Amino acid sequence: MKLHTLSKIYLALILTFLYVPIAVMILLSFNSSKFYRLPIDWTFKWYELLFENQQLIDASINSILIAFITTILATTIGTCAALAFFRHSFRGKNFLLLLLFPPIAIPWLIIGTSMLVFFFWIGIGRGLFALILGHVALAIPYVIIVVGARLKSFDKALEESARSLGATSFQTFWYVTFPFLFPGFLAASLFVFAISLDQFVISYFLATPDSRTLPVEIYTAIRKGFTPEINAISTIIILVSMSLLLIVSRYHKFEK
Amino acid sequence: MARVILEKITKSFGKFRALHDVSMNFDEGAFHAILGPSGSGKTTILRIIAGFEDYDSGSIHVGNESMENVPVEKRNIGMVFQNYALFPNMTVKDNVIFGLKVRKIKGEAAEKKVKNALELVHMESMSNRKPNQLSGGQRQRVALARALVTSPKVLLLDEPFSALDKALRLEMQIELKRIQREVGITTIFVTHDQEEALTLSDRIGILNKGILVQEGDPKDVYNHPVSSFIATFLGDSNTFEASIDKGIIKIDDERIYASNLNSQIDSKIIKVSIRAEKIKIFKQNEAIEDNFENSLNGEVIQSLFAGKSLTYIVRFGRNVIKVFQQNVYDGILSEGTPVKVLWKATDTIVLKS
Repeated sequence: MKLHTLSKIYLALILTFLYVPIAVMILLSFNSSKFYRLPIDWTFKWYELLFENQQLIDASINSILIAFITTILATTIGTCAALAFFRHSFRGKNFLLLLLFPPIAIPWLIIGTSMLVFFFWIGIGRGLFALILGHVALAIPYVIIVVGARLKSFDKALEESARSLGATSFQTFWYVTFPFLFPGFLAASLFVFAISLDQFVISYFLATPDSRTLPVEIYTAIRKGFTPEINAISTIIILVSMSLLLIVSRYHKFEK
Repeated sequence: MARVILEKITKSFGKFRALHDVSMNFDEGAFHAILGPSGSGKTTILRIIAGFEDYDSGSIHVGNESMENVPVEKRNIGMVFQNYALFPNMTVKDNVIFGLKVRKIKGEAAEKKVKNALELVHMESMSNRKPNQLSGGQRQRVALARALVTSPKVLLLDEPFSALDKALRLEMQIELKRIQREVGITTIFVTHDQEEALTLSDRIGILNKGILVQEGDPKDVYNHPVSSFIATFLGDSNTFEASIDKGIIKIDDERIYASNLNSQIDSKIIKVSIRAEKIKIFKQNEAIEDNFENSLNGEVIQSLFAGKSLTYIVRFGRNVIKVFQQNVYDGILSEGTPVKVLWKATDTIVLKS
């Protein structure tokens, strides 16, 4: 009983530290005072200003565009790689699997620097294309891990029984394997979308002034002086991404 | 419906020889069992027939058609997997209709076939359920319906009852036999359970270490095993080292009578095997009404009560012998009782050492 209370307090603390800062930010985005003076004087001023701030809007569009393209490319490539890794055996497989993990552990700062150097060296340079390449490369290991985890619990007899019932290998994948993988695929997509949208360090290295992503733009704006417009755009992003997650979890149960 | 002929199939996985020179005929419409301990290669045979596995040499014919270079999906062989492998994302009906859908059979024709298949296995009322809402026996019924709906030439079953509890297993065995008779399909099933194989099948093949060691009618194989491996693997046998000299068999100093002496045996050391259920046990002072050629005196060292039957372990000389007895008498012989064990000469199986 005591333990029960303790764990409730523990949970409450975690939620407090996680959500209170976000709640404060959302509230302040509706406060007319630029200097966070209380009590809150309700206003939509910052939202109006936001829609006139072309730089922030462009950066948002860049961010969403990059996140979408990254999601599509990384989940497709990553799923194919996961199928290769967890369904077939080939030479050097274990070595390649091992190589998947360092990019997750290496600091982004170092990855960002090395990508910048490498992209300049091979002539890609900076910009939208470099950003997408960088994000995709960064996201693929996550996709392989998430989709691979799902694939590991896949019963190969399901595919075999589909084949013995007359299904071609494509039909088997489409009707049997993919529906099974779908929750993993969906989880990986959301994950990649979040990674890309959230990515600052690598984006900072690879962005040009007209291909800035939102985190880079926000960082630049803060350096010039903080405006509550940033609270406003952050609030919009939070609402959009949270409702996306809620919709997904409403229509799809993550557990099997 | 078709017969299946395996000729000299050999298959290795790396250095492990899974099958060696296995030739088997599976008759049209018959119920065949392939029996063997785990690792004997029995599942490999099934997977080779289904087309999931390649083989190194030999040939397979289904009907008159060679299966060489015929891919799995073109073989039209139904298979029921050990864990049934029902598609978890589809309902019972969608599972069963799958084989028709991928063959582009649609509409009323497909509906009718699915209905017939589900009726055959008594699952028509559950067609909208998902596999995880079914019991083990129901899943097996669905797996059978799914395998049979495309009217395959052959039905393969891989350890179909191993996931069921004992009561359900018996029920499903009876059901499977009924369905097989009704459909009349050539059926090959793989099992490590000897009782299951003997109960269900018309013919039985026994594999050991990738070699087909005996094949035939279940009664023949049971009563006339050709090796001590089969004698002990099929049923409960007492196997003893024995000597033979001029037709006289002895276990240590006890003379043993056997009616069918295998003339091919030329060594002096042989094995004799007696099935535990063919031996009668009496107290030493009891009068014996029947004529048994073999009689040994001994002492009960253990008696095990299992409801419908009793198992006695009896020591004679340096050896022990296991005896089964139906639980029809009032008294159970207690440990230490001096007893006589008796059996007929026709029940002594003489084997090469």
